[in-house]
This record gives sequence, structure tokens and C-alpha cells, in this order.
Amino acid sequence: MRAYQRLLIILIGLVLIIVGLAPTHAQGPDGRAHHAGVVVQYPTGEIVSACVGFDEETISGYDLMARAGFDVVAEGSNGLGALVCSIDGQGCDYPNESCACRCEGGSECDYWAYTHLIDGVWQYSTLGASSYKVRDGAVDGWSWGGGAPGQGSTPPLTSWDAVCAAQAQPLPTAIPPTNTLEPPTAAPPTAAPPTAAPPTAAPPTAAPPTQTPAESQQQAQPTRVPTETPAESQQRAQPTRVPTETPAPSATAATPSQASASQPSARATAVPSSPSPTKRAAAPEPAGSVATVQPTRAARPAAPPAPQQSSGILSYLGFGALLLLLLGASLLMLRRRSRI
Amino acid sequence: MTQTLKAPPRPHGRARDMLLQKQPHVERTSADLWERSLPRRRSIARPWEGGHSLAWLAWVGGGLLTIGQIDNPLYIGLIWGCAILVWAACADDGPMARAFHLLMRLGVLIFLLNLIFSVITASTLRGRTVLLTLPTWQLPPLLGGLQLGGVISLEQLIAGASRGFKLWTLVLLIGSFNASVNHYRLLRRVPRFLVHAGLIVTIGLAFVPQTVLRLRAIRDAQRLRGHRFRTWRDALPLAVPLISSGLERALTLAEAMEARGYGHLTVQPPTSRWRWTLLGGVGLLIPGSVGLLFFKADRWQMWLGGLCLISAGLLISGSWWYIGRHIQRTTYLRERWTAGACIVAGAALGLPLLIWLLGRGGSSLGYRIYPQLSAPVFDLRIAGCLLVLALPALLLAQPPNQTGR
Repeated sequence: MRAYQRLLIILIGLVLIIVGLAPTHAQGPDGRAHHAGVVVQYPTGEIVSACVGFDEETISGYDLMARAGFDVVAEGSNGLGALVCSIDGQGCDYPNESCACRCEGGSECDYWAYTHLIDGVWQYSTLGASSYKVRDGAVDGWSWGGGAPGQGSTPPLTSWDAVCAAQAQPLPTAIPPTNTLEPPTAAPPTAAPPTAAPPTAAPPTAAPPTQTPAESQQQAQPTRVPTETPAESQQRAQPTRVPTETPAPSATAATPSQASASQPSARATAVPSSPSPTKRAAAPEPAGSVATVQPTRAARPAAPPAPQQSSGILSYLGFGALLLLLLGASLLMLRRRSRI
Repeated sequence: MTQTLKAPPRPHGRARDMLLQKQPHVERTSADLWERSLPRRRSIARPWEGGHSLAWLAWVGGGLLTIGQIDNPLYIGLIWGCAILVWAACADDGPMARAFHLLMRLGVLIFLLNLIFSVITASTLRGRTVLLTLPTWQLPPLLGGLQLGGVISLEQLIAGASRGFKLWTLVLLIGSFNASVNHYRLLRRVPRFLVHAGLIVTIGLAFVPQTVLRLRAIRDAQRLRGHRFRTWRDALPLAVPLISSGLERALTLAEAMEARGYGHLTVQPPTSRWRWTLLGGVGLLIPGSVGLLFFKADRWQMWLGGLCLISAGLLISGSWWYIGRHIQRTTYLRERWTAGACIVAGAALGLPLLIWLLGRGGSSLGYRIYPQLSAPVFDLRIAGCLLVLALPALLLAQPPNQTGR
């Protein structure tokens, strides 16, 4: 009887593991049921927003960041949920220094403040990133600068429409999944108002006509690809970083060539049906921050390489010798004492 | 008659005379004898008694402070080896030293738990080297709404293992301290106003091994009578004789201590004024900590809180000093502060300071795991500094030609 029970338990465990490992199929071309946006304001003042589609009822704020492709380092040891230490390498170099490295002296300090866009206002989050539940239509904000309930630094005001409208639009059924290799020449030139992009803020990818799609793809996604395994990328929604203000034509040109068969038109939907400038103009926002928006990830400084210097094989040999010395000496001591 | 009168009074007992290997007794005055005996008194080799308790305290304190600053598993591994070596060289065979095995097992358990929990609660910290994907399982909100399972990355495993190894080393350090130090001497180091508490703990420590021995004896006796221990109900015939004999022994000890004057320490009960002083100091702690913790800097509440804390510290330490002033302790054998103890204590206290300075000077003491795993740095200079923690094995251990305590 007991043997049977054990066998059953083992079988159930195996099935669970297999079910977990089995890739769940993506539901068509961004057929995600829910969408939420995330806006990040870096210490440099630069602002990046992304929209994430998901099928679950809720996901955590941390998952939202992770699925949007941000490189989030968080400390999860406290009971309130994850405390974010750095986003894309900017912030505190946890665990080499403490997660709130600027907050060791006084009470007013800089850290990644977490806010939610509720009723058109950024509200300071009372929960950590892994505890807060993000629902459909929510927008999360991350801003370096810290704060407290009712005050503190927030990203510039925006709206869900500005962040997510492009991706969350119902798909026109006319687009068949077979035309993914065809460059979407129809949408961008008209959609992107060229005057909206200030020439100084325009990154190199903003002038793409001479680039081949393959080149611009490499530029557009230099760091995101290795972070995702196939299993992950199939489960996840394909987040597309929609530039909030200046839709870059290069991003749209890049999408068709890299869209694999598994996610045929997730990128195609991202073809910026330009995040309507009228709505953005309606938002009470200083124009200065608009100019800092940069459209693609390649334009942003990548995470700085780890400053850790590696040490040679000799020092590791030294470590092994020292440890052997210590253990051998203790063995010797034990033998000597047992003889006494 | 005259001879018996002339015989000088012996300053010491007969056994001590034999121990001193005196010349055959010649007639001298007692003062003469006393002076002659003085230099010889030092020449008696005392049996090995373990290191000075303060040196051991300094060793464990310095070790803990050092571990607190280091995250690199290689350096932690060196400290681990030092703790093992010190245990192997310095541990005595007393019952308290046997707790080392228990602590070792506890350390392994902590290590494994850290490893397991780094996998189970994998939802927050993610590295880049993904190993496998476990099914996720969301706990109900009543249990905190945690997400279990998820993507397991190599970085998470390594981070959990490194954290667990650090805790294991902490436990091991305390274990070898516990195995090596003489607890009775250590208890004499408690501050004077805690003399009663120290006495009680000393008695308790003396009782523990005796109680264990007695428990074994009773169990064997009951087994011989055919008693079998299966469930907790069977523990009754074990517990009753144990408790009754323990009470008996406690009464005997109390009588003996009373007869030797333990109850009549020269402790004056603190006057009511000093008692109120102590109470006032403890009371001031509360507004002090509230002011310091809940108000921002440069507010008058914070300054008031700091003032409260300082005055509370002064009041409490003053009243403790007053209480301790009236307590006198006598010592039968003073601990000897040898050169080895001096070196060990100095090195152990200097080590965290040195490590801190090295860390400030740019040496990497941490181990950066996220977002991508890399090999930890190993600097031979820091490693050489850390080996200082193995010094007790050389300086405080039992010399090979002596046996026993």
C-alpha cells in the first residue's frame, strides 16, 4: 500500500514537472487578454516605457518589469516583497553594496521609487514589486530619486493609452500571419510625425533608411535576446518597447525580419499606430521631459559591465593549497589527540 | 615540652609540603619559611587549562565581525577551515564540547535549507543562466500570496549556496568557540552586578551533564525491568525518578552552599533611590528611541531623542556601577594572560579592522552574482590576513607533552 502511495506521489510529481516544462502555446498574434504599461525614469532623466501583454488575471510588478525586458536586480529577503536595487545596471550595485546604498545616512535619499498611475496621478506604492498585483490597464512607474507616500519623485504623467494603446489594439484580421517577412512599409511614415522628434534627441536608429533590416535588428535588440530562453519567450508576452513620443521607423523596420514563426505578428502589432500626439499633449507634462525620451533600447546606455576583476588560476591554486593545509592540519590534530 | 613549643606553625598543609619537595624540616621562623616558599610557588607547573577566556571572546568576536564584512565564498571557505582547525586543536573532551557535532549538523541543515529556499521562492531574483523551469504555484493571499516555483537559474542556486555557506561558517565559528572555551571561567567574566545570574547559570551548567548521565542510568535500569519506550506515555517512569532525584540534588546543593556562606554575599540591597534611577533610565529609553527612529534629521524631536538616549545610558550604567560596587568576588585560581593569549586577542581584534580598511581601499570582499555568474575574486593578501584566525590552534592549544586539564 505504502509503496503504491509513494509511486503515485512520484508519478504526480513527474507529471507536474513535465507540465511545467512543456511550452504553453502563445495565443496568436499578441492575443493577450490583458495589457499593462511600465514607465521607467533613469537617474539620467531619460524615460523609457514599455507595454506588456499577459494572459493571467494579475502578475506581480516585478514580473511586469522582467517581461518588459528590463534588467532588474532586486533583493527579496525582506518580508514586504522585492526591493529593487538596480534597473538596467543603474542604481545600487547589489550585492556588492547594500540594496539601498544611498539610504544609509539619513531618511531622505535616492532609490528606485515605485509608483502606480491611479486616476491620472502617480501614487506611491505601499507594496514591494513582487507583492503588488498588476491588472489589466495598470501603469507602473519606476523613478530614481526616492520618496514617501504622497511625495517623492515620479515619472512624468502619462496614461495607459499613451503607453499601451499600440499593442493592446485589437488586431485587424486582414493581416495574415504569413506576411511577417514583408516589411511594413505602410504604417510608419505616415504614423510618425517627423516634427515630433527633436533632432538632438534622435538616436542613431532614428535615421534608418540606409540600414538593412538585419543590421537594424542587431541594433534594436542587443541585450534582450540572451536573457530569454525559448521556454520563457514562449510563455511570455512579447513586450515591445513602444517609444512614447517618437516612434522610430527603424524599430518597425526591424520587426518583420526577426519575428520568428512562433510569434508571428507580436511585433507587427507594435508598428506604432503612433501613440497619438494629441493625447500626449493633453497630459499635463513639461515639455522638457518629452525631449529626453529615447525610442529604442540600443540608444540607451547598456548595463555597465561588471567591474569585477577576475583573478588568475594561480590564486585559485593558492586557495586550494591553503584550504588543504588547514584541513590537513586539523586532521593531524585530531589524530594526535586521539592518540593521547 | 619545650620542643613542641619551639616547633614552628606550618603555613601550609602537609600535601603542599610534599608538593614543594622541601628540604627536611629545619627550624626557622614562620616569616622565613614564607619568604622561602614564595619563589617556589611560581615554579609549580599548572596543568593546561585552556586559553584565557577573554582571548577566546576576542577570537570569536573578531571572527564574527570579519564574516559580517565578507561575501566571497572563497574567503568564507578559509574561515571555515580555520574554525575546523581550531576545533580540532583546542577542543576539550567535556560534555559542552560535544555540542560541536550538533552545531555542525545544524550548519549543514541551514546550508541545505538556504539552497532549497533559493529554488522554491525563485520568483523575485532571476539570473541569466537558466537551468530549468519549475511549475509555478501561487499561494493564496491568506498565506502571503507568494509565488512558488518559476524559472530556476544557476545564479539563484549559487546565491543560496553562498548565503547558506556563510551562515554555516558563523555557526561553526561559534561551535568551535563553545568547544574550546572553559565555560566556568567565561561565566566569571559577566559584569559584577549580574553575579547572581552568573551563579545560577554556573549551577545550571554543572547540572546538565549530571542530569544526562542520570537519565541514561534510569533508562537502563527501567529497561532491565522490562520497560519498553515506544510512545511519549512511556516517558512517565523515566521522568518521575529524574525529577525527584533532581530536586533532591538541588536541595543538597542549596544546603551545602548555604553552609559555605553563598547566601551571604556582601551585597547591600540597592537603596530605593538607585532603584528609581535605574527605572528612570529604562523609561527614558522609549522616548529616546522613538525620537531617533521616527523623526527626520535636523528636527528638534530627534535631538531630544538623542539626549534622552544618552541620559538613559548614563543613568543605567551609573546604577549598575553602584550595585556592582558592593559586590566582591574572590578567585581561587586566576586565569593567566599568557603571551599567546595576547597575540591571539590582538590579531583577532585587528583582523576586522584590517579587512574593513582593505575593503575601503578597493579590495573586493563581496561576490557579485547577479545578473551573470562569474568566478569570485581571490586575493592572496586577504587570504593571508584571514589565516590569523587559525592562530589559537598554535598558541592556545594543549601542548603535546601535557595531558588533561
